[in-house]
Amino acid sequence: MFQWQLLTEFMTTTFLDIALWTAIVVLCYAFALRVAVWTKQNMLLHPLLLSSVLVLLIAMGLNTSVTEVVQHISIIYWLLGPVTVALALPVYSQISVIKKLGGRILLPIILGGTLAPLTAWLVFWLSDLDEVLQLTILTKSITTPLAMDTAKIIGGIPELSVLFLMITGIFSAIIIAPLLAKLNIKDDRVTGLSLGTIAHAIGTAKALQISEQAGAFATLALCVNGITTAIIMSAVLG
Amino acid sequence: MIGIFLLGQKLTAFVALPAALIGLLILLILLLLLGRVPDFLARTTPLYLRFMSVFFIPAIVGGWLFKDIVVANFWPIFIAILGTTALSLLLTLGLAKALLPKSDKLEDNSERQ
Repeated sequence: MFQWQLLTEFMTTTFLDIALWTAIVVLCYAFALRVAVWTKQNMLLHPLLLSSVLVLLIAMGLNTSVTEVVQHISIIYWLLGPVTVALALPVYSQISVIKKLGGRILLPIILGGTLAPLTAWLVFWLSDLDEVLQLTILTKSITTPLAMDTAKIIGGIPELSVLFLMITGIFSAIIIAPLLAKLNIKDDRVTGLSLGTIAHAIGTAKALQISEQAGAFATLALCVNGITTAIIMSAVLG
Repeated sequence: MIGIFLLGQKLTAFVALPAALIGLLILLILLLLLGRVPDFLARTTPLYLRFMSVFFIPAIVGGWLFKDIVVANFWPIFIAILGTTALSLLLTLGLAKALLPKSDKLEDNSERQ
């Protein structure tokens, strides 16, 4: 009897914690999305960055350890997997473009998508950083959900992988305008392709602000690069 | 979607690929075989792809646990990410510009997607 009581008590507190923290995350996210609209999508106030900082601040305010919070919101973490599967749809709707442009579109994506992680890895290797970090940086241009899984498989740290990804994405979104001006590029397909390849989802969001066409090419590049890089990394290092 | 993901998870036992990636490929193949996107997918998917980033929050929050590593290696990380991102973005832009055909026909086609 006593033990049963203990068990139910444990279950209800855990359940409440899960409900509470999941709600906090969703609310912070909704708020961050509003802020993004108010500030006209200021890149430094990226919703993802802002909402994560808010969640951390609330955790500190409520005196809950980050480890506990992460446990309580693991259901959101888990749902990322099934949602990633849905990326098949944008790839499918772009498949005729891939067929039509073939290598012309795949080559820049794959070369760019390989160069980004390899050069970053080189800097890490030259600075003699920990091997786990070296492996983690390799995932920096893959789209987040695939990057996290890939990091796990090749022996990196998924959480750090996301952090690297965020910095890569936000930085790319900031420098793309001056780069385009310098290279005199006015083709939205080129812009979208590059943003999707190097800056994954954040770059794609930026491309969508430029034009629908840029967004479509960014989505395509994001998926193709994510899939190919993830396969290569997992195959070589897994 | 969850079903396919679970199938992917099972398959990870045999193939060293991310479960979500296997699931993605399975769904893509199914769509190609079917030749169209089923209604129930077409209706629901855009919604959660739009708000996909909410699912990344746990990982970023978890990243806080590794802050010591990041602080300790701040400069190499900083240089590696910013420098190489700029470099590879530049290369991809140049390459895409050189390779993509300038035909208007293709542009029309891609806009209809």
